[in-house]
Amino acid sequence: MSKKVVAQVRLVLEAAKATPAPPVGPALGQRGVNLMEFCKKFNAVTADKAGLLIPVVVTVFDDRSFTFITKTPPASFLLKRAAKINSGSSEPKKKIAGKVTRQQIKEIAELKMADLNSTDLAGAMKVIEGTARSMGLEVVD
Amino acid sequence: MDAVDDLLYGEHDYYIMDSSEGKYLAVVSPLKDDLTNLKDQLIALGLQFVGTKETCPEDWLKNIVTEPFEMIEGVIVDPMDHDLRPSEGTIVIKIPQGLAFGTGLHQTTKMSAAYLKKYLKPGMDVLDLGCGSGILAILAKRLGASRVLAVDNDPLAIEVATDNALRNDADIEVRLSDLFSNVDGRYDIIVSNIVAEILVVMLQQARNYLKSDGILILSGIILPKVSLFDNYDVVEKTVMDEWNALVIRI
Repeated sequence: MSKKVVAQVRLVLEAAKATPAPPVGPALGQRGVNLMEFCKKFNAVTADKAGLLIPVVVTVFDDRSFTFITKTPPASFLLKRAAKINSGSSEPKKKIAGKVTRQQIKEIAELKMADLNSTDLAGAMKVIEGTARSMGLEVVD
Repeated sequence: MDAVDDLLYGEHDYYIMDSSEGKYLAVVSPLKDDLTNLKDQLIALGLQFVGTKETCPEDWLKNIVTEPFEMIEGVIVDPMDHDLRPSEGTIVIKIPQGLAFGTGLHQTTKMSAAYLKKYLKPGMDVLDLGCGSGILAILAKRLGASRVLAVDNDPLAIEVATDNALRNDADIEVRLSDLFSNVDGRYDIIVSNIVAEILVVMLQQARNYLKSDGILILSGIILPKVSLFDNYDVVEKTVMDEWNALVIRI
């Protein structure tokens, strides 16, 4: 008989640095997940992305076992970080909140390729550029 | 979801729980004021406020193991203070299950412990790099090691390992150190259960801290990353589920 899913939990964790402290402990402990096992595995698979904040979706089964998949950080977060600003523009069409370079757009597109529905980098860059403009960021060469 | 991420991502600890009881967002903070301000912003995004809850580590750790278990053959880990009468030659280590890595239940710890038992001869000096709870350092001492230095870059681990050393009456040194930054001396065995990428960095400096015929016991290497060690002299390798442990000479 297949295992039954009891919960899906989405967390945001620093790559390679998960510990059973919050938010991991409160989020997964209540579902009976072995916290150490989760942290050890998350850290092992994200160690090559050190320094990045990574969304992770954990599926918990009725026997307390779990699987998880890591995602890429939201484009808006990566863009804000690239432009060194805290928030996008309140009036994106009128006020410029900051600037990002085309090279930064390319780097973000490369990172986000896995989660975007684009088959090529040029398409992924267009999506990221669109997000940048909607936040009031100017794209410069 | 996007609006929630915009507000919280990188700024606050939070999680989204989706189960048969419904879907909710929880923001976790040690500061109540922090949460009061956020509450209004989240309600403004269209979320409905459910309530606040106080929580502590005991709540998250309630499903942990409390009964003694055999970590490897001849080594029993006692998470509580049971009055155990082990047979002669059996080692008992008391390690309460807590927030530091190294509870004795994980495959990576078991493989490291088995290699320590195999390679450690009485009188050897041992360095435990990334000691977590101190479980491997304490085992090394029990196996007859002379000097044992346990280091970690996490202050919580230092606190826990120091407590555990006292609890087990084990004469080991515990120090805060980022890899070798606060390590002195040379060792017969360096045991390190961290992650593959950090172990590779560690290996580049290890020669300065290893005796001429010393070995490294490396664990925490998840299956796809074992190829990072292809160019090293791997003496022995163990696989448990998706985890690898290696004995390496450099």
